[in-house]
Amino acid sequence: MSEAARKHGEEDSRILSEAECKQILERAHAMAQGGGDTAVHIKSWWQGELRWARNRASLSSDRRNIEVTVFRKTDYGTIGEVTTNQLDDAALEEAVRAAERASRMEIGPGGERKGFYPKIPAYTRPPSARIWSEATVGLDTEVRAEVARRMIAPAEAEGFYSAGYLEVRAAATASYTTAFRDLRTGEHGLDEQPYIQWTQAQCSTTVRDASGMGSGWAGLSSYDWDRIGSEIDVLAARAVQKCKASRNPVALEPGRYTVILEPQAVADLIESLVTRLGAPGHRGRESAENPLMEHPFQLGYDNATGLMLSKMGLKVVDERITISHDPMDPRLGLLMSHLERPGPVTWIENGVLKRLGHNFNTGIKALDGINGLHQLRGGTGYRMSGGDTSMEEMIRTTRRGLLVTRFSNIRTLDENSLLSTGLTRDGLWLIENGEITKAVKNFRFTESPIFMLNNVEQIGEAVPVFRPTKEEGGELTPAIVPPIKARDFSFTSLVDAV
Amino acid sequence: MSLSRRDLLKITMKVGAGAAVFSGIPGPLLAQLGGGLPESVQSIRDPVVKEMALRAIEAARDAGASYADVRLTRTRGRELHHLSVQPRDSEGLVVGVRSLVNGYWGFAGSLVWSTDEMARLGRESVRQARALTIGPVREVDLAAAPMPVDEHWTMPVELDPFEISHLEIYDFLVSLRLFVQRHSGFSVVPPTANAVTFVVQEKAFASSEGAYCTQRLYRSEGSLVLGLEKNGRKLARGLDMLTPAGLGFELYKGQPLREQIRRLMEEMEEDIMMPVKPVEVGRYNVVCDARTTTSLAAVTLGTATQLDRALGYEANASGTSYLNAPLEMLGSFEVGAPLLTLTANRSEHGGAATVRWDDEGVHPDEFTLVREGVLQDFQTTRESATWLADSYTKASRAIRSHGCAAAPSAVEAPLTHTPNLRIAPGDEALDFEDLVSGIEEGLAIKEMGVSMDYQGLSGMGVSERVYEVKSGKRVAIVAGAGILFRTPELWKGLVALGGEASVRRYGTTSSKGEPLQTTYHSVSAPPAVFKEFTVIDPRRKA
Amino acid sequence: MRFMRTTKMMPAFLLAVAGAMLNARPVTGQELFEWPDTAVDISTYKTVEECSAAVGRVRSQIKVREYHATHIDRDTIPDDLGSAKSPLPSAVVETVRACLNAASAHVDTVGVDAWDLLAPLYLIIGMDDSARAVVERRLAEVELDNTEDLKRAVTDVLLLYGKNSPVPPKIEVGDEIILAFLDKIPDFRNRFAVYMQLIVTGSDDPAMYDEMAARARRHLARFMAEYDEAAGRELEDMSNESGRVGATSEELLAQLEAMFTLVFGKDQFHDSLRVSTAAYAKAMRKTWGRASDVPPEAYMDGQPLGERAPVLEGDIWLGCEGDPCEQYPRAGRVSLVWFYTPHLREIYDNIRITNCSDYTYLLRRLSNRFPELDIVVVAQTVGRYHYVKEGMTPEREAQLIRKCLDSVGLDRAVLTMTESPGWRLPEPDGRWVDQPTANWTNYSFDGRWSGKFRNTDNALLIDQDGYIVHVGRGTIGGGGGLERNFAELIEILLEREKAKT
Repeated sequence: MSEAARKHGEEDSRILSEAECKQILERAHAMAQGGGDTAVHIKSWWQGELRWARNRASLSSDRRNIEVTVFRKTDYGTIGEVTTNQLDDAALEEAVRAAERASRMEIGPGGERKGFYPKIPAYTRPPSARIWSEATVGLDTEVRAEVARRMIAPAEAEGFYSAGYLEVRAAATASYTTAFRDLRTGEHGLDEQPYIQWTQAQCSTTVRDASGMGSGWAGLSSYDWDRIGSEIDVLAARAVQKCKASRNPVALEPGRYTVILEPQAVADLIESLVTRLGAPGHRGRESAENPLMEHPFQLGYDNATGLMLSKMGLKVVDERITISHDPMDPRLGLLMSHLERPGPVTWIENGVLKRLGHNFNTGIKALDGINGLHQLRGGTGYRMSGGDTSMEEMIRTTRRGLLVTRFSNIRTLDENSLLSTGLTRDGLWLIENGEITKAVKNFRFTESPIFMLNNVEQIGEAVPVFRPTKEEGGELTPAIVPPIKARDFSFTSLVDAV
Repeated sequence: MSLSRRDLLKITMKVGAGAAVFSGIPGPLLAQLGGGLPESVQSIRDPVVKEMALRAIEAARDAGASYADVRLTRTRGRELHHLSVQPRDSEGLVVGVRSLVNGYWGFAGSLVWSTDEMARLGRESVRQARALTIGPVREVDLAAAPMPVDEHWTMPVELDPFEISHLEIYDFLVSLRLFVQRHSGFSVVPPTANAVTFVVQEKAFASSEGAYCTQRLYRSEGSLVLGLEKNGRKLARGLDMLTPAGLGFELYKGQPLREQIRRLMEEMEEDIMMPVKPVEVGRYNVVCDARTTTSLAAVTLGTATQLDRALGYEANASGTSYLNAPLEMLGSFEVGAPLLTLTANRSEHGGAATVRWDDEGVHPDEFTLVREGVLQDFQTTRESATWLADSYTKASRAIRSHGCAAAPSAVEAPLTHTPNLRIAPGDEALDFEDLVSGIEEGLAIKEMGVSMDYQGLSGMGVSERVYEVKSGKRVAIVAGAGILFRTPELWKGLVALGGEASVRRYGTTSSKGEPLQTTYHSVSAPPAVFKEFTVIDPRRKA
Repeated sequence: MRFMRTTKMMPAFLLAVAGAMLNARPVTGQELFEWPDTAVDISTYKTVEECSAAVGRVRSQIKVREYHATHIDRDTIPDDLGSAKSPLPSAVVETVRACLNAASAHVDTVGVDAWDLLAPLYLIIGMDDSARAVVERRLAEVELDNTEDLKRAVTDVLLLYGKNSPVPPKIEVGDEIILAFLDKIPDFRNRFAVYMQLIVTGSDDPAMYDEMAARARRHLARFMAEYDEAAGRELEDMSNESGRVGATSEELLAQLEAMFTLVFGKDQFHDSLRVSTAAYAKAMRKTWGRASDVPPEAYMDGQPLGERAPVLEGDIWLGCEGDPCEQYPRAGRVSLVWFYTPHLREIYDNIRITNCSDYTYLLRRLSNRFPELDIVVVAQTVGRYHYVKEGMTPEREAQLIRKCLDSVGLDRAVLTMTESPGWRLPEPDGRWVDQPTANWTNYSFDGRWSGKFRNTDNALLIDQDGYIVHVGRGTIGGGGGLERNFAELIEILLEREKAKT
């Protein structure tokens, strides 16, 4: 493991190494009975965490765990699986036995019944930046505590309450299998995922005044702590400023407003849109081209071909909007661990829907170009094109509008239009004649990200936003997003919560 | 029963024992995983577990902890659905040590059950805590509580799902499908539409105050979704009797499922024939079924009465509480109509949050959060109970934790999590239909889903089962209606409650914390009538 | 030919396993096949649904264990003609007995709507009277003027005692019940409907063919007796099989007779085939037309019976004799032409042909049994294959299918592979749209049978002069009945040829 980590002696053992992961497969397969194939999916994580509230650190923690799913497909059986986090021989062997029992409960291919597979030609995996930061894994407990202190201080000085969370994590995943040895193309079999380790760091703070009438938030996440560490004073100051400026809000009438959405607010709002581009689980083309399913980018049924068409190739949002990702982009820091992950992809280009994620054998041509062997999946991280309008400029050129810090508690109401509802949070201001005039009570909005992206007036510089994965050992979902000024944003009711 | 780690993964057969000889793999983490581990822990009550637990405490004390506690959990899960005889089994053994140094908390957790690792975690938790002491001194008082000494508790379940062949469970799921299919037009299709999850968690707890106890806790949860196709219309509805509960397989076998399925079918037949009307925005008197009432209680008062939230400890995470001045509000603040009494417990049989001891070794009491509309108390732990010391003393009440410390597993540090909640029923023996018949003009709502703000203050509810009520009868379905509410007005607008017999219990989850933790609890409530609900069309833009 | 060997030794082998399976205790050295359900406590079962579920599970688990013990899938071995008569494994019987006791489920406690669950259970444990009681309760609920419901009920009952019987069929009992029921039906047209079911719904066990024929004859006679009374009567708003209105009783009789011939007149059809394929086709079409009440030319939705089989085209031919290959089906040879579409499925994220082995065994047996028989497999490239860019060509696809055919012993078969004229949707969609190949088009017979071969596994039997004698619908392995039909007809065609010389 890393130099920085090694300094911490026993910390060496925070996550499983590649050799260890490979050995787990070998051990499991050596224990196998009844022939067939063995596969293991391994997840290993460590997290160093620090929470604070009411201007005092409330908990500092150091945690780790692993998750190993053992798959056995015995000859003539189907696939059985069992998940454990215990890897001594007895435990692992029991996992293997249990998976085999499950495997043998049903009839599967074996011997002559296996069928035949076309040999996959060799290919090169798209290169990707190494998402590993010594600064992140090396950020020791004492340093974390110091960071918290520095972020609390300015709030306390104002008589406010600071709460926050700082987390550094290292994680690794690997999926190995004994299946389809003959289909191996280079190092890995088709359904394997090479060992990949990555880091993630996040820091966020909420500053509230004693009366609870003002609240400000700021946060940043990155795989590299250095990018956050250099910003902590800025974050702290921003949260304090927003808290101060958001006190004693006035109630406005619900209705349609021109909004200036800070990058965080944009990211919060368009999350549903980005996932529909084809993040695992949400499906992309599978839904868009399935008449039985609902999908925002479903176009309609074409009698000539007898196929449901998607909106690929059509303009779906403002032509200034491009949404893409590039595994080589170090600023984005997108994890490209999985074979299913493509190389650089442009999902939406100048407002036109260019691609939707899809599974391994969805369509054919769709698989070309980006190395035809893979699933195309996106939505885990993305970069949105920016513009050159500064926030100040946006405000200055707004006769009447609202400035939104971020959204919260968003839920999608309609899968076809992505109409969503949610709340503003931690700072909402009225802009009149080019100036921020007063703090405004929070609103519930009812709006679709697609509608918003079609009503864009101005776009600012795209910057990294706060998008940590909550799930322990979960993959990164970084995003680089600009602030956007859009018209006719629909706020439907007042919210008293602060 | 024998609980060797190997047994955890058994399906039904005896398997040749294999000694846990560590097979010499490089890499310290695996080395810990393989080595040092007792061959097989026969049960959570095995002396070796206590030995390990005490080792952790000892190490923490030696390292300078003024207080320390440790949890070891073994969580075993099994999932099944009606289309495959193959079970999905999982197990996880984890441990977490928590230490207090100069009023600061440190926590260290891992997956290795070995005395060496316990010692490391003890030391590490202290190192974590000590790092924080660079800050000003922080006062922590732990409310005194009688501590269990070498006690064990097993949650009473009639049918231990892990003692029953999974094939027996599979047969039962299939029988439900066959039963549904007997009725023309009805079906149960995807695997998820008829599936069950069982979890058993064994937990050992020890603290530097000499506490040691072990528990065996169960959770069962299922889904059964009926589909109905009739004159060109389609309808899908889930049976609501299988929500998470502290039960075994009796969650299925102990309930009159078939009667409930029949009832659900009748409702579906009824609904599919009922005329559909668009939403007319306005204010209505509304009858909520028990399911809706429990949801409302959980996301409003259930969230708002978490003391850590109320005092801002969750400000940067799930949020705060509109009950933002606990000390002033206790005993005086009116959260609802006099009709409203809300109690909490972690002891009721079958409750999803039911335990004998919480994650601080406290035996939770049954306590009243709201009595006759007035706020009485908050959900507390040993530390947070003392934050209320003044008002407790003023009201000459004991300063004690209500035992709300919990975490999904030992590798997560305990937080205040919602206990089982219960809204006291009304005096009259009324049920949902009775309440509906009492409405001249209004709405009736079933199974409403509610999304709240970050203070449990204002929320929006939507349901596919909003009915127009005219002179005591449900006459039409109001398509896609939603409601908007503020928690205080909501509960002050409570005008009637169903009787004891109409009370239903549902299991639900709640999430909070950084990192995020999700735990389970039950909420019991009767159907209720609220006046002047604001009804909206949630899809209508401004 | 490894499979031949295993197949041959099957019966003995199976017996051994079955023996092992009868006693609940696992056999030593077979712990891998240990009963996974030894821990199931049937005594806790409370409902007929649970019992049904348990029986279904036990039966399939036995099948699974048998498969894991022998590695032979029942689908791949010849129909065991005796199987219908062989008793159920005792495990199944025990399960039912134990379960029904526990659930105290019986005639009076179980709702009529569960009759189709309960009756089979009774039959399994030999409580035929109870089964009958349940069945009769079902019939008692039939609305006698509701032709559809009536036909459904009658068919279900006949199937329960016939084809679908969990135990050796007791056709006579089914008949007895239905005939008794018949007396309750006043309306002539509904009685006709019942007779129709009685004749067509029997056992398809060839061993019982004569028995079934005799039975059908009896029913026919019975109806004729009734017909004499109804003779000449014009039956108003008659809705019979064809939904036609206003048939006379004569027409009904004719229709019933035709139906009888169609099902049991095999010998006379075979005789006409011995004369000529044309005669055979004429007879079949005529009878079918009368029975189903549609014109002969519309035979079986336009099945090309008796028509000339177009010469097959192909971009790649594997295993064809002579040059050029475009001469199949060959003159002077009996040919079995199989339109085969590989089912590609994604497994471990890999594409594989899944139906290559499952449905080809019966075809192989025909191939082994009739060395003179030409077997031609008609395939076309599948768009889905194109994801493999380099190295995936029509030739490569052909080789993959060839490999699959060889593996199941179809090495004698001739394979013709046509590159599908499919096309792609414009970018960025780029999906593949399959188009019918020349063979598809030619074999749709000017659209009279269009699409029938598309993505299906249909097989045509073609005589020495290139005329279509028989069409196997669905997958060739779709059932032993199919295989027997083919075998019988092939034999006749070969004899016919010999007779000429």
